[in-house]
Amino acid sequence: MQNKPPSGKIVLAGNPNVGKSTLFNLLTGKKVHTGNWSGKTVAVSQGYGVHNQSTYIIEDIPGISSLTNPTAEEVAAFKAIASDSYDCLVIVADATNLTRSLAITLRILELTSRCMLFINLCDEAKKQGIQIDTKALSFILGIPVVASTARKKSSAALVMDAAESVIQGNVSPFVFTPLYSPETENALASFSYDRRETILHICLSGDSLLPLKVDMAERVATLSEKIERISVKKSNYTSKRLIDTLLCSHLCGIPLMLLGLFLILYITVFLSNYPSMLLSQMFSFISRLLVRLFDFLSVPELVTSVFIHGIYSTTATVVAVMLPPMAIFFPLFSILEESGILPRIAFNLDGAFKKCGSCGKQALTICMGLGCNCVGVTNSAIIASKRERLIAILTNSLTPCNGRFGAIIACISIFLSQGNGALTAFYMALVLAFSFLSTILASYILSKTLLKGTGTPFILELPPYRRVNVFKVAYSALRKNTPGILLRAVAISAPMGALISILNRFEWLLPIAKFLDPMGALLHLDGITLLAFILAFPANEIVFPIALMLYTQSGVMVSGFSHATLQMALTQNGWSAASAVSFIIFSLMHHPCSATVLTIKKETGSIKWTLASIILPLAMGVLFCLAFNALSQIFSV
Amino acid sequence: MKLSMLNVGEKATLSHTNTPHSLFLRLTDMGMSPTSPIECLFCNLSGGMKAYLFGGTLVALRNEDADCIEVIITEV
Repeated sequence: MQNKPPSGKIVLAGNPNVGKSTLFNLLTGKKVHTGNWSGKTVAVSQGYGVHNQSTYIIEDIPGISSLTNPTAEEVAAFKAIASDSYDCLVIVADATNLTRSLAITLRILELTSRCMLFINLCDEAKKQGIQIDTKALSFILGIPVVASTARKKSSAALVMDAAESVIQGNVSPFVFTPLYSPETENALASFSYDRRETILHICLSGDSLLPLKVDMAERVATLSEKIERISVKKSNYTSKRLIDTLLCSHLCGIPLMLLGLFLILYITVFLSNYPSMLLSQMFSFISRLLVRLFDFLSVPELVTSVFIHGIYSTTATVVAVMLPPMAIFFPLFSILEESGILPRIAFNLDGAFKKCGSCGKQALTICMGLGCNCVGVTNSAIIASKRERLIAILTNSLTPCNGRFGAIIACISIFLSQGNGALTAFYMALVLAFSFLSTILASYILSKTLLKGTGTPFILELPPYRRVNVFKVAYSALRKNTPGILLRAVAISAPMGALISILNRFEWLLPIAKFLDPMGALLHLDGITLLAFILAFPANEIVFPIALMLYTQSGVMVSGFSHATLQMALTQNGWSAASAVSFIIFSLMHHPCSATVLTIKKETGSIKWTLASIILPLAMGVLFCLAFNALSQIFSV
Repeated sequence: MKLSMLNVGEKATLSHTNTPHSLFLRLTDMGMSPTSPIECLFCNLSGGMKAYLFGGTLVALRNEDADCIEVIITEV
């Protein structure tokens, strides 16, 4: 498809959360992840679409709320809209809230006439009794208007037909709608419409330009309402109010959110045990076959040790422990995203984050960090203020990702709950509450020290709830997140596995662990556990497999071990309930994994902030463990 | 009165604004206009943020930001 020269470039633009990514997926056949909250798309996606035997480049740009005053993350979208780089701009609108989409459409029409309007979510609008007269709209705006839903396959042909007509110039003459006051319009009359904005910016400074823009924005809002009154019959936001009454209420809001989180974790933890065990058995079987093959080929023992007991074992352990929880957590979380619940969480928790100099959207990055800290860090881009975004990035690794769940749950199950499933889930919820409070504390410290500053205005849009196609969303989430994260972990695990194998082969690991023993004792841990945390830099999942390998001196890292095996090894090496609590604290607060560190470097573009993101949780972990050790000695836990 | 003083369930219309222009521009782009009614629907647990429905869009604002927007109450 890509070999044929493209006949044009089509860019999808519009307000956030109107279904641009869904339309992009439909037109290109790609599977870009979608979500029901403002700011989900933070990067430009590009693909190819074919229509009437012609190939078109299709580009999905981040949503934009304001062309008049774009925020930092909207600037890229604004530049794309204002540029000459496309042949047709498809403005994607939300049929259930057309006034807002019309406002941005009118503003885009001031910049370009090479566009069409696609009114999405008509199925939901129909359910709400909204009827749209597309012919009247097309007549008023002077551009092709298509109304359908991006989830329907037939919509692709309708959009591409209209886009093709724009590209080929088969559209009605441009109808210009005056947006500024009569005086300003008179002053601008001698300039062509696409140069008006530039002229205004040249003639007026920021301070005198803004009142003019405010006046214009009010006119656009009023005009949008008028157009909507002509072309739309509606009744709006009423039916879903009951859900908000529950989710945003003082009494039920927080308990319902905690219950949802508890259920997601419970399902993730308990469903992932079985596939993890199966994968582990399969990898062990393959390992035995490989050993026989290497023996048959008379491969030197050192090579066998490095390749099978090092690279293969480490990689297989990471995959067996990491894949099943990821494959369950991400789809479950995506269902929450798609339904529109996440911004309500930000609304409910904004008070706590405001007190520590941040904003409620940080709660969303924390939720995403529960799946993978890399995803949490990347999606911090939804926070408009740079200072608040940095706070969210630097503190994200204090949220335990899926990779840390396994070890924390094993500790709880063995030393605290004695295998009681419900009690384990309860203690896990306490651990998460502790992690949340430590994030709030770290954010507060940062906002009073390294990242001092005043709060910026915070506008949080609460999108309407949407019906979720569970299987489609789950599949899309699985495809989008899992392979990338797994590959990154495997890419770092393999060389680390070789290193561990060589260190083990020459019997250097135990002396290093012994060297770390005094430091470990201060933290109520031991040298082997500290060394396991260091060697598990590629992926948090392998902390216990490494520790077990060193405790049992087996020389081979294995996953899929039972809690009984782990309990025996740990208790024989002096572990107690207090050691388990120290382990959990240090597991929550230590250096981020390698993939997260690389993501932080990419997002901040700064070595200073990357180092800060490593030092901050590590320092907190050491301090908390020291304090716990002192307390446990006082009370002789 | 200030928008932040609107109680849950009350409706108002825009009177005038002392908001930083940049904030007000975003709100008008989201559907706030002199002709569109504004309804306060929810208040969060800390009481520092309220959700307002205007122009078909549900938007939550912190009280200090909503303080800069003057409204005239139309329905209690």
